[in-house]
Amino acid sequence: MTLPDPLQPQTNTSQAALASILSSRAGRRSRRAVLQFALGLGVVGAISACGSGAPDTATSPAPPEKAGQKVELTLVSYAVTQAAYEQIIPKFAAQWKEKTGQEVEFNQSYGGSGSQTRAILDGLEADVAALALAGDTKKLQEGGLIEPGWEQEAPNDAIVHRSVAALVLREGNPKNVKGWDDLARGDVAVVTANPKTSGGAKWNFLGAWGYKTQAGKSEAEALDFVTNIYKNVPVLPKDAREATDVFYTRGQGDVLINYENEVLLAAQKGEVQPYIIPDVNISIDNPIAVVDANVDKHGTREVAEAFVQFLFTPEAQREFAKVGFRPVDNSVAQEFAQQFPAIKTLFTIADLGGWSEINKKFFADGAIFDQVQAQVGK
Amino acid sequence: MIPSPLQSLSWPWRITWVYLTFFLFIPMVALLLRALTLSPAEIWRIATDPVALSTYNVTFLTALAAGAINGVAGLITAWVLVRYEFPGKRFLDAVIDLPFALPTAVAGLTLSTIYSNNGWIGGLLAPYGIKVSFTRLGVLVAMIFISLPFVVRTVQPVLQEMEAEAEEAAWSLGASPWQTFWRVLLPPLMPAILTGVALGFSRAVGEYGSVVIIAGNIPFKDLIAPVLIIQRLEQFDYAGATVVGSVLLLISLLALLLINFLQSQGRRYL
Repeated sequence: MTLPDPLQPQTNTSQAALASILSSRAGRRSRRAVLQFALGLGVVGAISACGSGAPDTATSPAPPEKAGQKVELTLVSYAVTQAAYEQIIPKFAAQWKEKTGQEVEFNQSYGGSGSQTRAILDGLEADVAALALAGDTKKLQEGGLIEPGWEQEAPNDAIVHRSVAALVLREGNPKNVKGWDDLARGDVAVVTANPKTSGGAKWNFLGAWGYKTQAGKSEAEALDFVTNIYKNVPVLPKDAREATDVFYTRGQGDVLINYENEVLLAAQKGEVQPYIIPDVNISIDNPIAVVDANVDKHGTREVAEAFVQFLFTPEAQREFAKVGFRPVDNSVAQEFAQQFPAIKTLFTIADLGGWSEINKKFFADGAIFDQVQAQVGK
Repeated sequence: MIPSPLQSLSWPWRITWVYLTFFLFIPMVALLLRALTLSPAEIWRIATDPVALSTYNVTFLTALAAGAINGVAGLITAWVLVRYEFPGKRFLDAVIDLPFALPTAVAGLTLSTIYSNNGWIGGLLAPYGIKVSFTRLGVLVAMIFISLPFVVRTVQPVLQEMEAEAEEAAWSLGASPWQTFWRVLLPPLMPAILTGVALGFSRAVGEYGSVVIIAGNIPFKDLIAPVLIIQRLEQFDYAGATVVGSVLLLISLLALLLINFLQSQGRRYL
């Protein structure tokens, strides 16, 4: 089952996550996880002690600490980042403890980016929001939770990692799909989520659109092109996760448009899938932001900002690269160069006018996507 | 209806009102008020948007079809459960309620798998060019499934109360089996059948969890109104979602009033 419930984001603490890793079981909040949590606590104590180089042992009780020396941080992100953050968080916690003597405990919540955004707007008290697209982070800004100018508060315009669109194919590529153009062919069924509800699907839509407009074609041609693609879409799932499920477990479609990082992650887990990275592609930029209203309320601004900075260090960037994201740190990018084929023409959201403009032009009521749908429905 | 002073003091009277106020009226009013935060023109635009109109069509007509199919099949099933003796009867009787107990998402996933092109049932239909999962037919299948128990459960007790003597008397008076069914059996069962159909229909109209999985969710084809509502919520359009929700509510209310009216008409002839 891959239906994230927006109202009940998955939360666990870093200890619980680590505990389940240590016992090499990805058990979720089951009774077993609680047990592991308890068992793991001692081990975690030992590990974080080793990390900080302090001569502490698991058997001796933790050094007495004042309540004020423990700080809780809530990280809200979208599903596929989980594998990376599970590695990064203990590293950061160790570093923070060494620097300040303060224990930092993480509450983590992962789900669809849009649902997570809504959850934060509705009161999920995130200190750090790592969403799939800046459009979602902007929603938090419009909701008054993040102060304008967050893009300048972190390195690299607050883009912490990126990816590109991948076309995932069936074994042996029976329909002989070579690139974007083939998706508009009448005999190719394409699976992608509904861009109105899925951040991932917005990137897919814009990737196909930009393939035309960035190559000097007119908007009318681009509209025609995406309409032909969406004529071949038999199912419009709610989010990228569900789209993946429809393609694999329920055998719909010949091509799945997905993030490159998802494909790489799946390959690491043993599900090797044939795919192509179109060499005219969209730069899928994933932003990070401190949720100002919440950190001020919790008094966690300092640690939250330090965490965000930490994500840009080669150490953290390497973890993102390991789970399939294209790193924004140059040295790490070179390390992983063979994993990420170079893109000939890479265009960005800014090239298409920026998120506010894009949402109005493409995804608002009655805008281009609705027109495409109406055309397809005829 | 104005209650007598004695009535208005009684506990049942008060409890009914408190109960309905907290669990029915206030939520409904809140829904309508939220929708009314928009201007009338905006409400009209959202309510009559082409995509929205197509979802009303898909939702209500499919739910009605599911109700009708369950009306006939449920009557027959109840008949078998009451009048036939066979091994495993009690077990079957218990199994009927499973669609209520199963989380709807699980139901949707199961149905969409067995009815997809390479599934157990879908595989049998595929050679004839019939596609169930990810089409409107799939929506119908899900709606039939989740509202299956209603008619069986409303008809069964009435059927149990009915005496076989009435049928025997009809036969001995020379009625054909068809006449016996149509003139003697069906009329007293009709209110129960209609109640079951009405319950099943409203349940199907509001169904989200299973349909969202088995349908392709393509506007103008198999996108239902509850999924459209969730889509609007995902776009942070709360007011827009409540507008569509209110339309759904009003149409359901009218449909239920109509069914109640038919029922009371039917009773007159008993």
